[in-house]
Amino acid sequence: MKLFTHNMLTSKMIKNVKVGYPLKLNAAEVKVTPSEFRSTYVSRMLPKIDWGVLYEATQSIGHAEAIPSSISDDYEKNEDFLRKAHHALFEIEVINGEMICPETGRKFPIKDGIPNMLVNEDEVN
Amino acid sequence: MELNSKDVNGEVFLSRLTLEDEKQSEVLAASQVERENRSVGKAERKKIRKVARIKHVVAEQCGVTISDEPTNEWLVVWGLGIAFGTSKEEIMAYLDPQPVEVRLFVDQSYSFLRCDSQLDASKLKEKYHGSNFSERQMLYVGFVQNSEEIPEEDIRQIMSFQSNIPNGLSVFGEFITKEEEDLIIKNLYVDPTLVSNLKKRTVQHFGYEFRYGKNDVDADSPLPNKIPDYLKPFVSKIVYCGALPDEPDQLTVNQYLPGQGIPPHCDTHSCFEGPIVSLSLGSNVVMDFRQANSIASVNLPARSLLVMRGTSRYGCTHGITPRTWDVIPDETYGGITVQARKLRISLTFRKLKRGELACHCRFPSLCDTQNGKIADDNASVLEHDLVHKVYEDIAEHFIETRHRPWPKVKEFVKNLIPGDRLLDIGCANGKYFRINHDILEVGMDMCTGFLMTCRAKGNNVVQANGLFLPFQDSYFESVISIAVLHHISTKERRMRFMSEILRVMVPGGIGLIYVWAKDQSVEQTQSTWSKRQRERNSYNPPDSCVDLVSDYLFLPVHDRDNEFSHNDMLVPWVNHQEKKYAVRHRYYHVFNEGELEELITETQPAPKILEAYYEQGNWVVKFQKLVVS
Repeated sequence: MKLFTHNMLTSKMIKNVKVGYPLKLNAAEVKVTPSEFRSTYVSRMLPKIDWGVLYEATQSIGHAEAIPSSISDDYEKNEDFLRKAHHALFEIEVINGEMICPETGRKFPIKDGIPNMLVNEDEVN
Repeated sequence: MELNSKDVNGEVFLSRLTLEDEKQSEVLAASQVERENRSVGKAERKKIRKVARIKHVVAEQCGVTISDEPTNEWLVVWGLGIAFGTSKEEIMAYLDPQPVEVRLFVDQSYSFLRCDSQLDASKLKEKYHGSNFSERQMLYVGFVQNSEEIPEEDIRQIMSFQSNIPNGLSVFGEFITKEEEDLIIKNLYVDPTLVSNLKKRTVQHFGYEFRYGKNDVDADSPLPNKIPDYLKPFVSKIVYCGALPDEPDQLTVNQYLPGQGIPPHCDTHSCFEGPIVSLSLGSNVVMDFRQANSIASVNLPARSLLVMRGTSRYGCTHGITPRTWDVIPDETYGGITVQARKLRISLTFRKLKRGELACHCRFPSLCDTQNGKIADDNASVLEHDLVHKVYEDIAEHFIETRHRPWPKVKEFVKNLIPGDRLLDIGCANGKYFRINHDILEVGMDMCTGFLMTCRAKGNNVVQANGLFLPFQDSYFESVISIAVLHHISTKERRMRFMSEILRVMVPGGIGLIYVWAKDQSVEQTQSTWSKRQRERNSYNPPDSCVDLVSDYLFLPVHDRDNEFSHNDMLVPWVNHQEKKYAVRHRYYHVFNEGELEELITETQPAPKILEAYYEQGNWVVKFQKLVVS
């Protein structure tokens, strides 16, 4: 599971959960796979990313050095920043671990790089 | 065969014979007649003309040549055939010397006879050619020259008598005596003012009226005429023999003239108690019981009592095809024979259901209280057993066989705006990833096998259920869901699926949904899928004992050679690569025309439908989430 995926996931389908975001991330195994960097692609995606959540995610899985805590104002022209963002969003991958609902503590396992967001029908609204 | 196409002499022509054929043969015959027989009498001329016509038709239809001299023991007899309703038994009994074999053909006015010897054949020709079998059946007999061309009887006509008889069906022969039958018919004074004139038959109700428009009974408005007293002994007998548990309080009398029938129907589940019985008077008739794709034909002899309970009562339809005769198996002589219909009266006894009307049968598709719906309580288990579990098992084979993306889906993904986020709900093996390199794609599926394949290819996937999306509101600029929604088993859940999609879409976002169409050949273009299925040697997989189908008997199994017969069906997945056919059944809700648009527009807040079309056996809708101002 790449970190951009974590950036969009919530547990709000669970009964009584209001926001369910962000999910707390615990990683047992992290893998970094280099991928092609395209500055325009990354800068197009950045406005859609919750930077604070991404930053926290990198912190929680031991990649605190990956990105700065706040988004650069001139990110479109700042290739160094875009490269860091690319790395955090698309290269760092949680292979095994779990995500935890901030409101209920419900755990969602991550196994072989795939987050399991399945819920039982009695858990949902 | 239309029996009313009679000429002035009451002779029946072949329906297949076109007018031109007929004219041509008339002309041929006439010229021949003029040349050869200027002096013979009118009747003789007519006979010769008729023989010429028969020669022409028999040659045309079977390639059989009729000769003037006997060369073997075969004869063709025009006037003794299924089209006249003459049975094999009657033919055998009538002709002397008796033939050893009779071959009959559906819709035809002639038969072929094999005699004991060539001499017998000559005798029969001599004796019966030009004679009258009945008022309207004049016989014309000819020698067959090339007997090897005589077709076999088509026993497919009677195959429905041999199998698929639904559970719970029984027929008690000679339930009443001939005298009792006559008595009932005599007593059944049909008051014209009480008779509702249905197009195809005459109906009278006793006890309560069955309202055909609404298909129900008003239990608070009993009719003044109860079940007549002279029927009481028979009613007691029906209860006594256990055919009905209690005394019936509703009787429907149907009168069928030959040629009349009743459309396939299932007696309203919520109106009447379990078993339904029907007493046949006056004539034998064949009733057809249809269950999913199977049809069972059952002969109901006069004076017999039909008892329908269980599957035959709740899980299939019964009906009588409007015909003047029925083709049935010939118990005595083998092959097929025909049974002419006469005036038939049926007395159907039922007991009104009172109090709790809800029906809990296993056949929701025919159940008025379940309204064809799968109960919401069962839906999640059903989808787990018949969709999720099956895909896990067939994933490997599915991946090998399904790589081609739908061209229009590919185009849709290609045309997304750079920077768009795309969610593919039910991404399977990830056919729509990496078509557009400027978007951010996330695939979602429930099946681990599919997800592992996607991840191995480097695609980003999440394991989740389309009914409970683990994403933020207003997130994706576009959502696709190709061939997924038809696996969701109730309308409520399908609506939930749609509203979840709309929830995670940004206002102005665009979605594309594909579902299987019930009609696989809209606009005469048969879908590739259904074509391919047909080409596959029409192998119909047997129900697999290893899968869970036995728990879902109410769901009919789709027969790949036919159209979908119901909206909710099981579709077999056959692994042809394995030596042993491994059959698994997946649940499908196949959509009617317009159903997907309706579902989407019923979802709140309703999106705008941008396009709705049919593509290769699928209904497709492209829609846009509206920007709320």
